[in-house]
Amino acid sequence: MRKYWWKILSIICLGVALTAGVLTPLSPGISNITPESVTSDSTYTINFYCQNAHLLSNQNSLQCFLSADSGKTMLCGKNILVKSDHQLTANFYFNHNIFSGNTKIKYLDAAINNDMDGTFAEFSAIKAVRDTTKNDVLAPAKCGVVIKNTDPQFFSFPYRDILIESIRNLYFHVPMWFAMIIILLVSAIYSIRYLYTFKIDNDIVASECAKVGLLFGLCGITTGSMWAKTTWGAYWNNDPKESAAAVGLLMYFGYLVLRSSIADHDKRARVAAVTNIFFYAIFIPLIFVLPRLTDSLHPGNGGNPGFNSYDLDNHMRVIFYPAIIGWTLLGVWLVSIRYRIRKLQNKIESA
Amino acid sequence: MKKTLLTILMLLPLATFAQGNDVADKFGNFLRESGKLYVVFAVIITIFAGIIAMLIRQEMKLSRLEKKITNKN
Repeated sequence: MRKYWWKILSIICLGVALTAGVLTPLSPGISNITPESVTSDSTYTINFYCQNAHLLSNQNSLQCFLSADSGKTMLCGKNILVKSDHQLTANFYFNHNIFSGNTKIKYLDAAINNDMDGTFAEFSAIKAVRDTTKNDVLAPAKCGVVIKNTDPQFFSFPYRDILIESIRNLYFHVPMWFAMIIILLVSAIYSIRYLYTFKIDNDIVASECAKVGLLFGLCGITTGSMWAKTTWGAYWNNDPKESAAAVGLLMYFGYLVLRSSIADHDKRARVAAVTNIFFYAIFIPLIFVLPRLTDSLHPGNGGNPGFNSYDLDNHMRVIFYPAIIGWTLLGVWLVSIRYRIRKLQNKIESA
Repeated sequence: MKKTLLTILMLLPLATFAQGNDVADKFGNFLRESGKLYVVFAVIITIFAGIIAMLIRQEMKLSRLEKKITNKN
């Protein structure tokens, strides 16, 4: 039993990542608002379409408002009518006071607040156009909104506009690369060990690690391109991060080809070990450093903020770290199975 | 045994429909309304397909070795 603890840990971690990663609800968010454009000095009925909200059961604490200039201008919804958990309508009177000075157009953020869902908003949701024919109506543009909770009162993942539900891929696509990097590091370490000891076992570990790492890399790049299709618009965008990852994987393919092209065991092991160390040393700057030097669509590169700065909140972390541990240990498990089969093969063939 | 399993599997979708539109609606909404969830499932399936493909190849290798041993004895 003691021998298997890490396999059990891997299963538990993957179970947590799969169940919690798929089943945890998203935070509430506003998906659509109609009409998108209004003219000033008139009353409009605005439709709010929300996701993952609990509007019906929290009508007592429901507030619905539009704001601009970071809360200095605020319009409160009147006659709020909740149609379902996901839809409500409210009347807004757009007066001239929302326009400061001579501005003709103002973008208003729309927000909903209740006790359970906290505050959720869509920024620049409504475009207000100033009606210049009528000018001197002065009504207060401020209304009293008392916000008790800004965060949802249930365990949830953040709601992000383009990502929406695909934010859950954080537990499947991202750990692929984490696991790959860790396993390839093990591979490089065993290559160094081989060059010190010239024991063939070290070479076997290094090559099996490279193969499993390559599998994770392939899974990572295919899942990444699927995710890119829904968020960036195309399967392949020639993004620096994508290209660098592809080049890196090709390098490791080259490593495997090199191995199979040398028949002599010792010579193969020695050449492969040296190449493996060099490839790892090139691979790290290739996928972690170079894409950061230029603009990239991928989070964490160029001027693009990484997941950890605003998307990876504490709720996501709770499941993200077990996911990394789980997938990495699964990789180690695969390596150990491959290693044992290779050892067996060598024994049988030499006997 | 195989037959019963197959029957149960074939009846499963019926069972979900039998529970009425409510459940079907809820599930439909779960997939549709909450946007882009299908990518997550596609990603999970891809990863498992990759890992299972590797396991199958290892199994084939192992069977070959087993055959070799039995032939030698």
